[in-house]
Amino acid sequence: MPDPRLDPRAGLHVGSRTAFTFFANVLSGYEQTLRDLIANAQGSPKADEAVKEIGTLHEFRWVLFDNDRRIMFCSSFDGSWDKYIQDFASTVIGLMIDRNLQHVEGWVSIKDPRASERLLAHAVPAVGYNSAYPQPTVKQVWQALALQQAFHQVLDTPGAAEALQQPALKPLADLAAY
Amino acid sequence: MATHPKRLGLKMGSRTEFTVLGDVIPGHVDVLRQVLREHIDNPRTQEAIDEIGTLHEARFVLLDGGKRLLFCSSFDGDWDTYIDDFATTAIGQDFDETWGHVQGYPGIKAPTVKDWFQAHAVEAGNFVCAYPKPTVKQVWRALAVQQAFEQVLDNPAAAEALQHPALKPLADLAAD
Repeated sequence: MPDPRLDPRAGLHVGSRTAFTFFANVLSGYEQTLRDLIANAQGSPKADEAVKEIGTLHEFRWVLFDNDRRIMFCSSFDGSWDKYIQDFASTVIGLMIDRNLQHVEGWVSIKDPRASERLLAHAVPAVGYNSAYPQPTVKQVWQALALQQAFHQVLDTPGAAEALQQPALKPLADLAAY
Repeated sequence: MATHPKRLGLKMGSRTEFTVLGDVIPGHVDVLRQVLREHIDNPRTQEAIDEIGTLHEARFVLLDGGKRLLFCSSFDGDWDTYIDDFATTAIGQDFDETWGHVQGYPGIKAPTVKDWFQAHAVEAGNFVCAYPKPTVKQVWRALAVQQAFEQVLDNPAAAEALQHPALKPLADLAAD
């Protein structure tokens, strides 16, 4: 049964995450321009910062295929489609989308009221989707990683082994023993 | 250690993206769609992902009216090991049941399977992750620590126990 939080065109979901997959035709003559734009954005600290700011986008990729005549945007995100698109529009990810999609057929602008519908109209929901950790959201993964870091710091501290012997801390002591 | 030719797939931190496109054998799309639906609900698929322990996520998309099959995944480590791992788990069976409906697919255990996948792979131009450094196993480990910590915090005696100076980093997080 489709999740009522989501337009089914936004994609298949597993646990907290949804697979969004969008395809578009590249405007004739702009294939190389688009390839360069996408490649130049790889490793951009701005994109990393925007992903941190959004906090709901697990990962995304841009792929040119069919001799660069077509482009795919493939992402996995938490929560509702409307929130996802609003977050795009308010961060540098929105600028990246506009910068790339201005070279494809039928694009408007991420801030245009028609943007959401244009993206959904060109989306193809996955027919299969799996994850090794489907339940946690991006923010929950970040929290868990921060906690793990603190736990490692504790384990490196003299006296930690003894402190963890307190009965109330048994679940952590058991993990430390691994 | 065996060396391999350069494999397609953009890397970020520990993870690599893998994107493959193949042509569905004419007349097979309905069966293929059915197979993929069955795999979603089959606990065997999730068990195999747990067993592999290097596959962050994977999706299958039928595009061009079902004429083509797209696979997008992100994984840790070496691509050749990734494909070898498929061949030794239930994912290999899932793959054969799926890609068996795509033209030219030789079978996960065929000696030519890696060449076939590379010939059908398309490297992304851009790949970004919210937590690129940890491997799947490191994420699992972090989630286990989080679960243990939550269990600790549910114990009324935990607040006092965490006051030990050696546990300060955890006490700080508990206070957040």
